[in-house]
Amino acid sequence: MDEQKLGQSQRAATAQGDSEQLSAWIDNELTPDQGSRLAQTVMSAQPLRRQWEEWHLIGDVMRSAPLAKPTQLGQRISAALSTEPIHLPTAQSRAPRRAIRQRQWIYGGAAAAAIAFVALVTLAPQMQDGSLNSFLAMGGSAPGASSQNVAQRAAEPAMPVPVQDARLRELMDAHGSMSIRPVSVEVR
Amino acid sequence: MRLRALVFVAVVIGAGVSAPAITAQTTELKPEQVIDRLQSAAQRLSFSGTFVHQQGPVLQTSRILQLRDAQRSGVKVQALEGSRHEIIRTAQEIRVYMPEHRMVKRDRTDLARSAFPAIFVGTADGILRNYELVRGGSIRMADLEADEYLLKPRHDLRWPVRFWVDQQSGLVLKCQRLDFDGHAIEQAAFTELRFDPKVRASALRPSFQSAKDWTVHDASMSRLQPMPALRYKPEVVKGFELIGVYQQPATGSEGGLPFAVRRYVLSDGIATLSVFVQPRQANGAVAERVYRRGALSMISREVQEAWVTVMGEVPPETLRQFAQSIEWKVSP
Repeated sequence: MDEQKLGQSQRAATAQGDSEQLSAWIDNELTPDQGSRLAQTVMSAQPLRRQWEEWHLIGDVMRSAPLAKPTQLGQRISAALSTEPIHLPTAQSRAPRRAIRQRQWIYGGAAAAAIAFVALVTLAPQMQDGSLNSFLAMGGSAPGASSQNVAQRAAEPAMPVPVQDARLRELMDAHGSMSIRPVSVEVR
Repeated sequence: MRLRALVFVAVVIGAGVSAPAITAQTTELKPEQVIDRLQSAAQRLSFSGTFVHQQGPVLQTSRILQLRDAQRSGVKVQALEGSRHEIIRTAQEIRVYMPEHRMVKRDRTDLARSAFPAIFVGTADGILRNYELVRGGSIRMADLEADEYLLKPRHDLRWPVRFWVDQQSGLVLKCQRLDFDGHAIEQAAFTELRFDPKVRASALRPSFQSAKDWTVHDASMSRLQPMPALRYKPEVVKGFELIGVYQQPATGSEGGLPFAVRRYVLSDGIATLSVFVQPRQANGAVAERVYRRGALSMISREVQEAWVTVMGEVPPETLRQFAQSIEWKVSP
């Protein structure tokens, strides 16, 4: 490794270390001395200062329902999150795994809340429950299922329905759904 | 994952329930008895509650009241999100009240016998010819003890169905259509349920005082007997049978077709396929490619002088093969 690459690698490692320290500080995991030293670093380093502000904004959004609307603030946070590196735990990482998992959860949760709260509610009922989980996980729901052909079937492309089309809406109403089915159907 | 769990807990908190006096040793029931029992419960019981219905990314919460007694028989569903539309179904018709348009859509196409959730549409024999019933465990659902089941398709390329049945009453509390990875792509679930609700005689009437002055749009179709045949390759949708053909009469601008719209309905007892045939100038619904919303796939094709729109709760590839196999001629 030449000197230039070594320098880049060291700077990257330092930046990641600062970032993890910043996360730990926000989570009250640093001693007062460590916090004080990091505060000076944060205020003098523009990227870290911006990161600190954004993480606090994310926390505010998580705690404030009115902020969880698709506003400019939400877009800004969403944009920030899309470029925000996620600090995955590594063998060298000294940060506790639990704390990192919590922060990743907050990133994802805050992004979704800022963009559309409804999306979270929509995802919620997909949680699987009950004793058929292991059966389903082994492809037991499909006839003659093997993991390979199950994966192939799942890959079938299809576009989302353009439900704003009034004529199509009419046909969908006539077809019905789990909620209500206009025409009685009976296999004889 | 934790947030999902929290939201899920919030959704499934149910109210106190007084279960009706219908009990059975559900573990000893044969598959056909399980299906007969849940269909009977859905038809016979009076209840009120709240349910959520998710289709793809869309989640809708609704209030439901079903009354079955000597004086009254009907279902009222009120949307609790977005538009305040109401659906009232009696033995004779379905009425959809749309206050934002001051319109009532009336459908007298057929006796509406499919109870909520409208997924077990065939007889037990018909369903079990095409699906194997697999019993799971027991779990609490909508604050009631429920038995879990899976309907595993016997034919390739069908969505499996997972459902939970109240041990006491036999009512389906939750059901899901699954993709091949076991993920729910459409589901309906009670979040609150009360049996034998004490309600006023007017409970099945619309909530809107001015509804009697609204425009009535009749969306009824006439049932055709005997059923005209539909030309398609049955091997691409094994287990599906043609069970009804309906149509709206021609208005004179159909360009050769003897009707404004004709609908063929096929079912395997669980999934249904609708084939809508319309005049070509009435196109614009969907293009010639498969669209999908949750478990529902749909496609439109131009076949001779007609536009054929096919939709159903089957995977996109199944629908594509079925739609491509359909032949249509005005004068066969």
